Parts: sequence; structure tokens; C-alpha cells
Amino acid sequence: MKYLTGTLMVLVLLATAAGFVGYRLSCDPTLHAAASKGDAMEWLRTDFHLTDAQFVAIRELHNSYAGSCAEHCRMIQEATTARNALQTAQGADSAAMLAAEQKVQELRIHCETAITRHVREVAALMSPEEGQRYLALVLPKIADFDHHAAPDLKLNRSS
Amino acid sequence: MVYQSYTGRWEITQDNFGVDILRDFVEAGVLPFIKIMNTSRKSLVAVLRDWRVSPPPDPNFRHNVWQRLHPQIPASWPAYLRGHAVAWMLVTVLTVSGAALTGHAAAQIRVRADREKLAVTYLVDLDPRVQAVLKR
Repeated sequence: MKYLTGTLMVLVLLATAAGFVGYRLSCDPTLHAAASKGDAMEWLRTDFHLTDAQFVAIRELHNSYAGSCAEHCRMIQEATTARNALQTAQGADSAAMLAAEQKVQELRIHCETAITRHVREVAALMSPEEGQRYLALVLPKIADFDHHAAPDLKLNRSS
Repeated sequence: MVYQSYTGRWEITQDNFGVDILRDFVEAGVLPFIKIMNTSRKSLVAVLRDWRVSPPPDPNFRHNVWQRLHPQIPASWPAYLRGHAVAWMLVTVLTVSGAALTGHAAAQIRVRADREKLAVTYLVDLDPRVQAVLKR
């Protein structure tokens, strides 16, 4: 009985060690560090195996997109505010409300088109395989943002 | 009747039993010398009644009994493992493989969660629709 117990304890230790090794070999500490810091650019660099040249090019692309992104953001914010003001106003013109809603939707579509074009440009700077993987990851989320809240944000539901 | 009691002694409860058996043996020719001896019924009963068996106690009796009950108890741990080598090898391979796969799966779950979190962070930075809501 004591040999059985001892052998089982050794087996448990071995299994624990094997589980730990399996975990350590399969996890990605760089990715986890980037997630902890919320560093998306570091994520792009490590997860999609970017060379330094690719990384610099993608960062420049992001910086250039940031301007249009801010402009889109401002326009959507203004259109949404105007639409909400019309919705809450007493006796608002239904045609004006419809036009305001249509403007918000047009801006959203314009935004989605722009961001989709941007991520395709980013993907083109990556190796073909990594670019495909990148698009497969981000494109569904871009489409999903329009209809639902982002997974960790409960934002779009009220807009 | 002649029997051995729990004390180890041979007891006789019926006078005629032993005599009858011996007589049967004599008549069958198994014990012809008894006929020659002309043993009387009474003397035989007396002999059997006084007959006591007192075997010497065996100091290894208990040990021998346990040895017969558990003859497979090994002397050492390696001996035990050698005796169950196939079973333990199988259990070890299955358990260690299962644990390694579980660790791998746990790491993959964490990697996927990290990747999802970063993708959302990345797109929140890029997507004006989300930013417009954030700046409200």
C-alpha cells in the first residue's frame, strides 16, 4: 500500500511538471505582455512576425490613418449628437430625423469602408500568410462593431 | 466421536464410535493385527479418551500465515515497480500525456484570449465609430 501511495504521488508530481512544461512551451509571454500593457503595435509586431521594415511601414500607415480616423470620429460624433437631439426634441420633423439618421449611417458606412481599406493596406505590408491571418482576425470584428458593442466595451449598443 | 476441539485436544464424545470404526477396519482386513491383539472394547475406549495431542507451538505460525496470504508483497519499491511495470508505464504515459496536453490547451486558451483582447484594443484605436462613442 505504501508503494502504491508513493508511486501515485510521484505520478502526480510528474503530471504536474508535464502540465507546467506543456503550458510554458505553448504560451506566448510576449503576447501576454503586450496584452497586459494594451500595446497593440507590439502585438502586431510579435504575433504577425513583422520585420523591422514591415513594422516601420505599418506604423507610418497607422500614423497617417490617425488623422482621417480623428476626422471621421468628429463627424460621427456630431451627426450622432444632432440625431439624438432631434430624437429628444418635442415635435421634431420626421423627415429631419430620418435625414439625421441617414447621415449617421452614411458616416458609419464611410468609416467602415475606410477602416477596411486601411487594414487591407496593413495586411499587404505583411507576408501573405500573416496578412491573411490578420485580415481573418480583424475584418469580422470591424463588421461586428457596427452591429454590436466591441467585446470588451459596451459602447455601440446605445448609438 | 473423536474430534479436535478449539484447544487442540482430541476429545471423545461417544464411546462406541472409535471402537466401531476399528472393528469395521478389522473386518475389512485393513487392520488384521488388531484382531490378534484382542483389544477389549473398554480398554480401547479408555486409551482413546486419554489420548491427548499437544503439538509444540510454532513461533513462526503467524508470520507464515501472512506470508501465505500475501506472498506477493515486495521487499522494496523498485521490486514493486518491476512487478507492475507494464501497468505503471501505461498509467504514467497516459497521465503525463494528458497533463501535457492540458497545459498546452490552457496556454492556447490564454493566447487566444490575449489575441482577442489586443485585436479589440487595436480596432478601438482605429475605429472612429467606437471612438465617437468613447468621446461622448
